[in-house]
Amino acid sequence: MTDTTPADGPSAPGRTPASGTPANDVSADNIPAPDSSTTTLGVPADGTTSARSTGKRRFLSTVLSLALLAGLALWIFWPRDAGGPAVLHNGTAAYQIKLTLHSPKRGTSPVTVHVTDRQGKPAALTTVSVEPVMPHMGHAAAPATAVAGAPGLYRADNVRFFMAGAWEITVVLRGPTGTDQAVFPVLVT
Amino acid sequence: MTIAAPGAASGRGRASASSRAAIASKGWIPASVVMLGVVFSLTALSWDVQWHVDVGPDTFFTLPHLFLYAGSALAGLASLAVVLSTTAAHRAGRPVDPSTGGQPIAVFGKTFQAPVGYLISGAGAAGFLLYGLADMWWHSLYGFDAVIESPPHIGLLLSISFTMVGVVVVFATAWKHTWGKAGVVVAAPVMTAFTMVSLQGLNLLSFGPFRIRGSTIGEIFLLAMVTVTVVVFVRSARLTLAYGLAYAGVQAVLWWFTPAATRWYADVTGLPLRDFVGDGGPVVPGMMAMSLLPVALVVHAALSRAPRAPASLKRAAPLVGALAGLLLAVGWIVQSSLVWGAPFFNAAYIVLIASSVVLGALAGHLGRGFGLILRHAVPTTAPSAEGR
Amino acid sequence: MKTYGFLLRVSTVLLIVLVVLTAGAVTGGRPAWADGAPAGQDLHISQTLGARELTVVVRRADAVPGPLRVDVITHAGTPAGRLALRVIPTGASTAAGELPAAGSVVAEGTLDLGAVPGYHGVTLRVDRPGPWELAVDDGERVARIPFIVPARVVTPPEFAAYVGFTAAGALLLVALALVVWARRWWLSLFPAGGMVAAAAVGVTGALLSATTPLPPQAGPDLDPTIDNVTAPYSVKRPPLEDLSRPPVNMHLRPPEEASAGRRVEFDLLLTDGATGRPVDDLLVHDSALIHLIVVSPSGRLWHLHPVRIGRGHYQVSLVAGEAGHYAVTAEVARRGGGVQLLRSATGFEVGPGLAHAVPAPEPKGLGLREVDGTAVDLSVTGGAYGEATGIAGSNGTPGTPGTPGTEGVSGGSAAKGVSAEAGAAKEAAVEPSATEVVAGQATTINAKIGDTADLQPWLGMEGHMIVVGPLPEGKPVGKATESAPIWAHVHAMGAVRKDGVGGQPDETVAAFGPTVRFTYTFPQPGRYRLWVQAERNYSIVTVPAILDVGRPEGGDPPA
Repeated sequence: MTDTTPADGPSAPGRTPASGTPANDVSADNIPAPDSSTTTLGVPADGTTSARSTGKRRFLSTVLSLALLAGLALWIFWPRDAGGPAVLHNGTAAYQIKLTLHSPKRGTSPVTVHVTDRQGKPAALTTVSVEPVMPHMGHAAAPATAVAGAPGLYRADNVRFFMAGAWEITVVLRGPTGTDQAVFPVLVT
Repeated sequence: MTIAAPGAASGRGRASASSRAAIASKGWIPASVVMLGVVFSLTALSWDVQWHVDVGPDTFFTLPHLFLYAGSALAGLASLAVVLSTTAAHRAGRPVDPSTGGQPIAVFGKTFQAPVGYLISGAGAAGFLLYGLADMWWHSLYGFDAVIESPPHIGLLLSISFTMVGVVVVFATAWKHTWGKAGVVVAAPVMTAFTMVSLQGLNLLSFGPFRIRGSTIGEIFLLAMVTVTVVVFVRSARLTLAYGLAYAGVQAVLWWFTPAATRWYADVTGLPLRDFVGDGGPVVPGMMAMSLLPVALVVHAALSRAPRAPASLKRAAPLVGALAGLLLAVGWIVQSSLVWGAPFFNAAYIVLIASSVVLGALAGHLGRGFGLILRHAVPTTAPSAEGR
Repeated sequence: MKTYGFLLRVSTVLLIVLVVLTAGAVTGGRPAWADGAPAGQDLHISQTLGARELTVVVRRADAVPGPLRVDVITHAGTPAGRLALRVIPTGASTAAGELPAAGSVVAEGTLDLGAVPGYHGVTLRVDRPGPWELAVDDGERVARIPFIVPARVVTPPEFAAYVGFTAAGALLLVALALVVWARRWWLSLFPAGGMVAAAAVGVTGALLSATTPLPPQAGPDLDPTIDNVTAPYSVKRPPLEDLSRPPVNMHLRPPEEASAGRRVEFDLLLTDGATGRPVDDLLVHDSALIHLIVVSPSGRLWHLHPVRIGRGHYQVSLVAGEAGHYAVTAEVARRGGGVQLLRSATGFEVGPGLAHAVPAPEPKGLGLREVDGTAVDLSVTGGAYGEATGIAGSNGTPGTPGTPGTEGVSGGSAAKGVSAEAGAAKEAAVEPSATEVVAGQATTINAKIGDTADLQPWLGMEGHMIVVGPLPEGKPVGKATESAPIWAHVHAMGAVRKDGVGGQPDETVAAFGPTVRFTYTFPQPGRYRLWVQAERNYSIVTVPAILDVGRPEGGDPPA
């Protein structure tokens, strides 16, 4: 019936006259049939022009959908947060701790520890130390003392992660109320 | 895809006598495929429910789940193939087998001749598959072992019920053929048995101090309605008997298959059965009414006594439905005491019987309507070769 | 029509797929069919909290946030009192989230323990998946039990199955709609083809979901964080082949002052064998973090479960039976590795104390005896020597002063009329073919405890047997066991199943026994001490025995 119509005009409600051309041959749609110009109501019977514009449109829509697919694939497979800082949250009974490992790569990296009390106010601690260990290997690296910067913010500049793998950073907080510890597992690449 | 190709062989725009005969004799193939699909679904559901009761663990990949999904996929694919090919043939002006094509339908001002039964079953299957995602989401929210009455489950089950309604229509459309008659008396019990589980959602409505389960009343209503529908549609004592026997047969097969398959599968996967297994009968076949066969015969006898005039049928149907509701309620009381050892008398039964009679009347009324609609679905004309 | 031929082919293919799947289910033995997703299990953990021996059962959490049921089972002799229970999230997370940071109490409840042994439960609440700590506070000390609240994890193949089938449904709808409404009916072939493809993806996903290996598990394999519990497939993991960790050192900090007949409390400090840092990654194995075995100078045995009170810091107490040197060993399992036996090199000393704290009598060998009012019959089924019951060791109990006190003459019917030495002699006479237990050969030791099947699973087992030896003559048992070459812990698993829904049965199921069987190959000849342990009426029955293991014909056993 209408499947041989090359025009992309608005679909007409109601019956459309039978064309008598092959109904089920998909490829027939690509070739504008000479006698098909009268098929759809309200569409100009200019077969060649509409066929050309249809071809263009088809090409465009193919390109567009391919681009869309490619974009989707890129979005899905694009590597994420590669090389960015590793941020972890943890807490103890007295404090909430946010640890930032600025460069989770083999080598040295600054580690920032942001400590607040349970109400969210910056905590004042006497010492904050950062102790990295590889639990599987049984390697312990030299601990670093984090120096107080802004209120509640403590930073150790050169914490050494001498090999890639699973590390565990124990943050030891010594303050007026005693000593607290929190452990942060990180992956060093 | 070769779906669209057949026209090439049979010539375009006209139908030869031979191709017409070939079409008429082949309608049973897709019909039996969708039937196979819904039989899978029913069996798998009974198995799955029993599995959750007797053994437990729920993952996507259990055999019952797989059969449930496969049943819907099968029914969906078959329906789609029939809809596609029929519509294509019709639009190409080739003859359409009326036993699959059904009656022309006007949708949004456009007349088309699509196989209504397959459209319904296909839409049901699509709904089932779509609800799968909702089910995954629900499980991720509410945990590992959800209940059967969760909204996505009810959606899933009702979708399959919808598919089964489609299958009933598919066979009713082919009423002129023996396989059509046979299909109706089998598809209707399958649909009813399956829908009973969907009705478990009604348990959220319980009746005040008497605690009658909403699902029990729902089941009685459903059974009365389907029975009246079938009786009005088939208008034959023999086929009514066949319907009752088919229902009993489905029940008997499930009664045997469900626990056997559950035990077997538990054995194969090495999982232990729960300690209380063995109390009472299997869940889904245990829910199916044992009194349906006599009730169906009573309904047939009562309706065939009424004068043939449509008006008198309209008056008789609610009365007969109420009678069916009463009988089914009594039958259910006896059955629940036999299967689960429930007490023979309980004050709540009065509420149950009363509401069954009232709802039975409504079921009779609706059942008559549905029976007549099914009758309308039966094509009265020869294959419409001319199209539009 | 060709259409139906196509249909037939499609349905045939689907049928074949189903048949193949079913066949796979039958022949595939027991793959991960039914446990592809980590269904939560109950955590059973024994705790020796002060004077109380408790079993804490943390029931699986079905929905998060949601309720968390904690049951505490008390045993015979547990004093009544009140426990405070608190749950605290402990896991690090990359997302700050809206919930308060880990470390603060999320829910608390109290339990009033009665004097009658049994079951006490409280419902707490958890608000996030990940690692948690259950604090059990008896007012004097706080046991901190680590546990994990699992998240419902959809494996990638399962996800593909769901998405594939859903897409198939959506495409089916689109195809049907196009057939009905589109002017070009063949357009619906595209969604129809898509539906077939999507269904194929779904089926493939469903098939793969049964066999895809699980990633390393947060908890048993990896230090749990909220991230690796919630999304085990998407967190970055190191490419670790070997998840094991260095061995553990155990330092037993002895009590300041310990005297016989009084409660002795001591600390265990566990440190990493490579870094010296506290070991805080012990896993619950056989229903405890640590199985501590203490042997007194006269051969009394305690099987205790120290409580974790801090990082790598455990505490336990017992009422010392008598003065002298006590030997101590501990069994622990670290995350990522197997069970290790830690033998304290020091043990601890108990000074003289109360007058009634006297050494235990030397136990007899195999045969009948009565323990705490229960008739117990020990027998041996030998390896190459075939079936035999007997008394082999009884000739090896010379000079048992005071034994009649422990061997029943007034017990149940099984023990009736059997007086101590006479009974042993009589049995020896009745069983002339008594087996000699020989080193290097698997030997089954049968312990019939009571005469009905009313044993309760203890630590997930029907019974436990501690074997220590060979022991030199004349040395106090405490000292001798501390340096004994063999120290074994044998399990009788029997009918206790652990693979049911939710895991193993708890101690309220009293349906096992009465005979528990332990099969063990004694590596060396010599004199051994055995202690068979089982639970009955919420009380641990400990049956001590002596067993002489002979030298096999033709010299020492291999290895």
